[in-house]
Amino acid sequence: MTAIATGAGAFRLEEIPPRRYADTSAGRRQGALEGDAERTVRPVRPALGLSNISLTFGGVAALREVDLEVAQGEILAVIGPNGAGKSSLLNIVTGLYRPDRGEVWFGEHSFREVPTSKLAALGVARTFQNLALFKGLSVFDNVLMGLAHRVRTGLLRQIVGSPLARRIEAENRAAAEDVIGFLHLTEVRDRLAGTLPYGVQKRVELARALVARPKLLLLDEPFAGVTLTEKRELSQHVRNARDSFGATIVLIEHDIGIVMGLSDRVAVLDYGRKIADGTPDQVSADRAVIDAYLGVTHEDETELAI
Amino acid sequence: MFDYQFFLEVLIGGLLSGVMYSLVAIGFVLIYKTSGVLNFAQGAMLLFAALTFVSLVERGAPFVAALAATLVIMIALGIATERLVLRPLVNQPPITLFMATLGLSYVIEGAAQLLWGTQVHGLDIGISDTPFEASGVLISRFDLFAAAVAGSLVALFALFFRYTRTGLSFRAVADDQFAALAVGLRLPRVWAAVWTVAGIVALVGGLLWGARLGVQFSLSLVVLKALPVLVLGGFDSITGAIIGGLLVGAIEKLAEVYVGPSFGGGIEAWAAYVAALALLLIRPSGLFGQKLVERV
Repeated sequence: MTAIATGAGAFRLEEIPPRRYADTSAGRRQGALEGDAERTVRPVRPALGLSNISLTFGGVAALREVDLEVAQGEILAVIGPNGAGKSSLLNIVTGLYRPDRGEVWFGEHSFREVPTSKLAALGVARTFQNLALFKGLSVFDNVLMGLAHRVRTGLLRQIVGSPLARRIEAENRAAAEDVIGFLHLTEVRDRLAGTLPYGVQKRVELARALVARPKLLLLDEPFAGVTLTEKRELSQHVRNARDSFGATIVLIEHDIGIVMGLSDRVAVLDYGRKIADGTPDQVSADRAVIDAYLGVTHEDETELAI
Repeated sequence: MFDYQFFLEVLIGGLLSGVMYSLVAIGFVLIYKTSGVLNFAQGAMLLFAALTFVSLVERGAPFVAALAATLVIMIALGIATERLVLRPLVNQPPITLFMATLGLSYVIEGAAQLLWGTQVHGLDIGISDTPFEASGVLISRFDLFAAAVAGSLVALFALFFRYTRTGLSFRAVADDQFAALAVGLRLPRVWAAVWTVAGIVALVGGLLWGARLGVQFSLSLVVLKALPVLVLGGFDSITGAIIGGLLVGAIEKLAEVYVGPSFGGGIEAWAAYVAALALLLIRPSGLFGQKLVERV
């Protein structure tokens, strides 16, 4: 009796619609834009578009009038020296910063300020430079948490195991198993994430981002602090993710060798401006890029640029 | 000569009463683990639950109906606490949150007495407090019953945490709040659920403690008994709360019987605190608590 009544109470709790203060206006705006999109049928829009983005911190301009478009299924790398505005760019796309000017487009939806809580529903997933894994949970549970935003069944149904709850649970588990197999994590499936080598943890985070089959995947320095062998593996996984899941990928990265091999297109930022945007070959031959970034930082990167 | 049988009797009595301490401590651990708040109001919640239940029964409600009604009230209290106290204080330092729960405990105690009055109530949950004999050792029926209830509650929690999605969300939030936000978990919802569960623990604890001590104002002081349990077991481990409770129960009773006479008795009330203090010097994070590793 107690257990059932317990569930009933908490079940109702789950049904309470989430109340978000800041999001209501953004939601309305999004609704209005969806209406527009239905009326004018456009050709396939870029998966991600930034138009005329500017951002200042006090008097310092972090980003100045940046335009950027990422086509569906494209792998785009954003590179540039420290402080060039790469992370600011990613933070605008994920709604952590609000740009002073400009708009962010996800397919048909445009936002002045991206609603962070809706990102997952929009099909956007990201990984973090310093990892945001649950170190005390198993790899499998970590990956399963990548589906946390999905509409869930109430607590009562979870406890009594209604057919719907069971089906959803089975689907989620199957999706997690799939991605774990795909990223060759099967052997460490039940290990605690915090006990794994850094490179493997990066792969777990990638798996968690991929499990929801995102349309747009944002990777913040996915290769930082990873050994050379792991870098090669990981970049192959990133490419496979695009090829198998059709995800559009935007990555920030410092390792120019990896970037040039992996990306379809490279955008270069310097002092908040986009100074180049093109294929890896075009960019590495670009005078402005060599001056700003490739030519003056490290010897080995200059070699690649030549 | 050492009376082995007597020792066993004292030990078992201690362990069984220790389970009652665990029950209070688990309420603390649940909330501390998931939201980093040391909820001083746990004792007040316990009092409130017991008082509500007793008052309903005295006004003629059948046992089961009173239990269900109290449960609903405790759940509402949990949700209201998250909405009205915790949410406005998000990102405040722990001491602010602690002070808020201290205030909350007075509000809840006040509300309980305003609603149901201040007189002492007897609570009979149908288990007689008479001992029975098992191979020469006397065991209290009530203690055994209480231990069984607490044990099954803990087992239910373990299953819940392990096998349901909400349980997984609890574990995730407890593990890393930033990562939980990053995957889109709604923290306020998880917190409301945790406070609800803590309310249920308070209800069970309130009924058992109320049956033992009588339902009265001082029931909320059982939090003070939970403190040495938490210090011994660690503030963030459910296993720790259980073991800590057992330890405290055993230490109290054994100390009273074997060490007490040389102090003139009455040692039971403070022996656990001495043990907790001693452990603090050796292992500040408790036996099962997570060590804090600060990376700079």
